[in-house]
Amino acid sequence: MALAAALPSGASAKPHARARTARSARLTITAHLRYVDARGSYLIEEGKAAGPLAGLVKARIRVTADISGSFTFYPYGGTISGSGVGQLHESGRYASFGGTVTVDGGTGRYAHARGGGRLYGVYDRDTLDVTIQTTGSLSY
Amino acid sequence: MGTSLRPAGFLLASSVAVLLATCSCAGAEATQVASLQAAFSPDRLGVATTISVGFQISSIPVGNPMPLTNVSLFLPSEMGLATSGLGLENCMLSRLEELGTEGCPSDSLMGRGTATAEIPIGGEPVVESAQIEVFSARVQEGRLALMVYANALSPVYAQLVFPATVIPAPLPYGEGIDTNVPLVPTVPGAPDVAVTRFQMTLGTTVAGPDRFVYYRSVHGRRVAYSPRGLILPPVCPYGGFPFKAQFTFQDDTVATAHTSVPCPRRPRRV
Repeated sequence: MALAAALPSGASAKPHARARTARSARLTITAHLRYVDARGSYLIEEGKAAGPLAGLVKARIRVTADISGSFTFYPYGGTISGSGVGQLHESGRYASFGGTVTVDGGTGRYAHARGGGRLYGVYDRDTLDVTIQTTGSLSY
Repeated sequence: MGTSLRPAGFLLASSVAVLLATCSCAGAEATQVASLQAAFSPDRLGVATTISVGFQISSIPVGNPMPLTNVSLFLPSEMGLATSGLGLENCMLSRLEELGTEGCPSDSLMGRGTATAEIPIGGEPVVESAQIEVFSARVQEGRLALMVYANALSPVYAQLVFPATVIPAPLPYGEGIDTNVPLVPTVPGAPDVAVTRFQMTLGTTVAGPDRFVYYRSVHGRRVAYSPRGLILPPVCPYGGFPFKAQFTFQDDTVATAHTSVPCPRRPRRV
């Protein structure tokens, strides 16, 4: 994990003004998601992410001619939500894909989460389990 | 040769086709008319199903069929080949061309069907039927790819491979299967082969000629199983599940046909 900056937000000594420290990090996170359910071409997946931020990940992935989806990540202290789009690289039982991921919000200590980067993944077309690795920047 | 669509056990939820095609085709300004049929088996929301689709092309006036060069079949929204469990291995084009279907892994087969074509021999149209098998192929430019293999035996002996890719489609469709159909010449001076009927299943059937199995290893043993098939959405869209097919002919004219599979009836509560 590369914590690039920890910028004080100008918190004063005012009793009601809560200091908030903006953070920016460059992260690589890998999530192993298991198939929970399918809604047509949508896969409902859930699993754990490992890396500098770890926690539960719930994702809704649409696999048609292209791959797209949204996710909610539950690291300690809040949630991070975002979306991703990608294209297939290879098929067969294990279909690999690549694309981009965007973080557009969150809750708790990640309420102001923003960021983006690249994603790479493989899904098992038999079990419908998915492994996704994202590399990019996150500020919160 | 047989000229009728093979029912393949798909009497459930079969749908009626509509069509429209206006093209000034063939010699005497013939109009090509296309119709489309589709059905699910089983026909239950939220479960995996096998799709049967077929089309028929006729000309007005009769006897002026125009060769097809492309067919795009659009599936209902929220139905995806990628999540179907079909095509877990890829078939290589070179092996398919060299060895026929025996050259393809069993887990690459995605569906079967029949095609009927008209071949002008001696001034009279001769009808020929071909067995169709659909295989998964390597990804093409980021798209899932298929190969449609046609095996015709008589009166013309020919094996043809039609490349296809899965393409995005606007609502109310989810994705399409875009298939290029190569022109097949006949005798010198005569028109090319014209496909007039086509029927295929995507997925396996419970029984009959369109049934096939995949294999997986369980405790070191090779065990046969039926691949899942496309998953029907849990909710049926208003008006049923829509299908569309777009046909492009040798003279670049286009015909379009629509149909829909009615929403399944809810089981009665006792």
